[in-house]
Amino acid sequence: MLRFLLLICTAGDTWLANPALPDDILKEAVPGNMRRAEHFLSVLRRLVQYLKGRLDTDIVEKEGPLTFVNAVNSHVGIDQKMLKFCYDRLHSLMLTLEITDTDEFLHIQTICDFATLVGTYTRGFSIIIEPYDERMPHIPDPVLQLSCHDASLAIKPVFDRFQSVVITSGTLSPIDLYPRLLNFNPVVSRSFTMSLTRDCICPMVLSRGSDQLPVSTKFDLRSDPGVERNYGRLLLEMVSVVPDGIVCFFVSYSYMDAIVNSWNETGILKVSAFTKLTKISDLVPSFPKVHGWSLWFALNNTSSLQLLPKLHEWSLWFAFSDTFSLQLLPKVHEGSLWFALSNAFSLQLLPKVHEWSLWFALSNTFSLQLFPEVDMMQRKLVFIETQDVVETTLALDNYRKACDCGRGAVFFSVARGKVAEGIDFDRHCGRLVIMFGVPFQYTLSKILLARLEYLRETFQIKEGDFLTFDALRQAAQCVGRVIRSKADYVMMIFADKRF
Amino acid sequence: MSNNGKRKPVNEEEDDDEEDGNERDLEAWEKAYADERSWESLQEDESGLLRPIDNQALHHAQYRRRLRSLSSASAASRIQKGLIRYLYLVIDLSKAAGEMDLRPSRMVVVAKQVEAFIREFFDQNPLSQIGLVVIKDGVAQCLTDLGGSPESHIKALMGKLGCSGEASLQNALELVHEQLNQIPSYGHREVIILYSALSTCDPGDVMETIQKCKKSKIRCSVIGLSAEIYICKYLCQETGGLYSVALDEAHLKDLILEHAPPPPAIAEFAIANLIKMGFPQRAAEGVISICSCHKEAKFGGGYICPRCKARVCELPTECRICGLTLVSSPHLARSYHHLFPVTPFDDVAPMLVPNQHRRPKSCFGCQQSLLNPGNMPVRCVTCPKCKQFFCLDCDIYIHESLHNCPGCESLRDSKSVN
Repeated sequence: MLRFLLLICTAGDTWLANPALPDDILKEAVPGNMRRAEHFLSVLRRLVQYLKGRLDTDIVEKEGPLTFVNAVNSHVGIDQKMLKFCYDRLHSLMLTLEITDTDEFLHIQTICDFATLVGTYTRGFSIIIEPYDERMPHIPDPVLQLSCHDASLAIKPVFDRFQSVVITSGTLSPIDLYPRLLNFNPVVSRSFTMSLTRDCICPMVLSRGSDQLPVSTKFDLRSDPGVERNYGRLLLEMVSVVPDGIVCFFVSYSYMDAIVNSWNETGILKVSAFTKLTKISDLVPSFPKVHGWSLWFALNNTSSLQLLPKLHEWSLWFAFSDTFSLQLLPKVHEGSLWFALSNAFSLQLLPKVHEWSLWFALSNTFSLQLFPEVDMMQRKLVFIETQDVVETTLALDNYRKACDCGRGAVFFSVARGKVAEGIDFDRHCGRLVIMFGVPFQYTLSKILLARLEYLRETFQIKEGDFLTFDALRQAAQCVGRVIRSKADYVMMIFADKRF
Repeated sequence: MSNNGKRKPVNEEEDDDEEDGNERDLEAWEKAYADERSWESLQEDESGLLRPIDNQALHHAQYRRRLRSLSSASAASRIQKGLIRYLYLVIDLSKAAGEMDLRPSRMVVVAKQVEAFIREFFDQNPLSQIGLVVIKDGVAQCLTDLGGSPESHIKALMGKLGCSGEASLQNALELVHEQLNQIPSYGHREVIILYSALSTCDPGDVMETIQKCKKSKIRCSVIGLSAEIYICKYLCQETGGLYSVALDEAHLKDLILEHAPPPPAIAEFAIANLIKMGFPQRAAEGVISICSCHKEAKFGGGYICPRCKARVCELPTECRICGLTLVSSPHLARSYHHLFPVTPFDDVAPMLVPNQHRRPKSCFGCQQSLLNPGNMPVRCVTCPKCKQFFCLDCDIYIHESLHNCPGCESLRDSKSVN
């Protein structure tokens, strides 16, 4: 939210990167008790001390900007006007000192931005202090967040400056909530359907799995093995009939981890391990160190352990192999993210692995005999998006390569991740998109709760409505990643009974 | 139509409507009812009586469409065509070929259509040769070498129908590239890949192989049986071939037979050459000689190569001893019509009532009446050169089999058809 405001402000005129909106920048002189550099620095020091003290709490605290400013004033004697000018003062100080390396001072700049915003606005913001992350309550990780709940603040300068504003987007529906959120009265509000000359999209809603059980990612159903199995079956069936690339969206990273784990255990995404590794090339011997949160599978016996390639610490890593494949597999570069599941026969066929490629290959006839009841994902390679940007970029790159060369690939991604927001899977890179569940936001996050409360008080928007609106918008956004032109054709599956 | 009796293991659960083609084996007579639903194409006219299905008109319309699409491409200009074609047929016998969405299985249907194609191919291109390659278990194998005898290819194919493993496009292309590099430069190099799989498992960079094929001027076409795959499309675009995906058996037949007539040659690649050919005489009856193709003594019959005097059994062929291409003149004549096709006939508007007397009462080709009972004129066509009228059946026959217009041939003072 903060960054949003910054962006608006940098457009056009000679506004410096003051975080507040241009209308709200007071055209006054800097208050007297901050004019001298030493005084200003002592003010900043007191402010930082105060913030540190606030962070030392054990409970979650939430308060509005006015309360916060009052507290600041009473504790350290910094009033609202002084807070407002923090940014300007810091900026002029840095200019005076001719500091060129602004990266070093990023943190103090953040504090000043924060102070300026808190001082300028009295409504529409909340300050939330969380002592630890909800998912890991034993690790103290205090965070102070200034979150903006009011989207209309950001668009206000645009509305004020221009006489006609046209808002268009491909993913604006449901459309009626926007005027209330952005605080304007639309003169014309129209929704146009896509004009298609032929059937190029095929959206489908899947509410039950093949064993007729309803499927959903509702919180209570998340660890239900039936649901996981049904989702797995769905994916398998699709993989065997859809060419080139498939994109799958999950509701969250944790859900994706959990479901991939369970797929591995039930054998849907698993390959047998082989024994008897005889000759070993000088591919490194030590077992890779695995980072805490890395997704990690290893099905092996002891002898193969010596042979597993040394991998980078935080690598996403699978290795299944047998003797033949090891001799023949290309040399693995240190930083490579690498999976190889194969046997002798399919080895001739495995694509050559680029040095630092992220790469799965699951196949062979032997495993089929060993697990006759369960299909192997031997048709396509699997790539997963993680929270790390480099890994994800690698995964995407190799996903595209796999689609281009005819090997086919599946990309597991998360609904609110980087991929869903910006990456296109056009033409053969996305022939099918599956939305596993409804991408609701994490409803227990304090920021979201604060925002919902604000919306309810100010705009009388019901919480359920807003959450649904947001989830549907996100789902439409994800699914829209795959069709980018008129000549493209794609199939979309929404797999949840709530759709 | 999902969930009818499928032949998969019991504990495998089917997902919904995606694959409704997996049905049990149907007898041939059952197929017409189960899938084609012939009763659904019946229509009623205004008074509620059933309208008879005019198959002939449909057939003719189809033919006209085809002809128009072909001739619009070539317009009035002469298109140089590759008459001496060295064609490799690559048949995918991977696990996907065992799928039963075409009955009884993709593999069997493909084999049947390939047989029909081979016969048609040698019919239209007697100077050309075909070789067969199969992809099985991820490797490509040469089933038969380049040769001009349809029987040997068909026999070899029918004997080897078993599917397993993965398909590898790159291995097939490499093999074909290797083989086609050995042929002389006047021959046109082509590959038709009948691809049933949905992906390809390659040992190296398939893009490099495609560039190699492009450089060697190999024209690759793909007929897919499952879905459109990007790499096949790319291959066909790069090498100048055709990519199509068959929807059902009849469509597959059409698509394959589209490749029987010679394709246009690419200008910079087709250099005019003088090709040495021999026209052997028939050997005298009652002469015993050792035949060079079977390597055993044969009695009478056969042809004698004009250069090395070796005996060959059938034409067209390549002499095994001296390598001369041996043909007979009818073979060359059969290729001639590709270069000088019969012009498409024009439609005649049926309601020419005032000029009724000018229309002849019978077709020039078959002498059948051009008027329905009740003096209603039947649809007919006319040749733009000799202005004779022909019925629809004769139109199709003239353009597809005869390749000569009887009206133009019977004009006593006509110039040759040019």
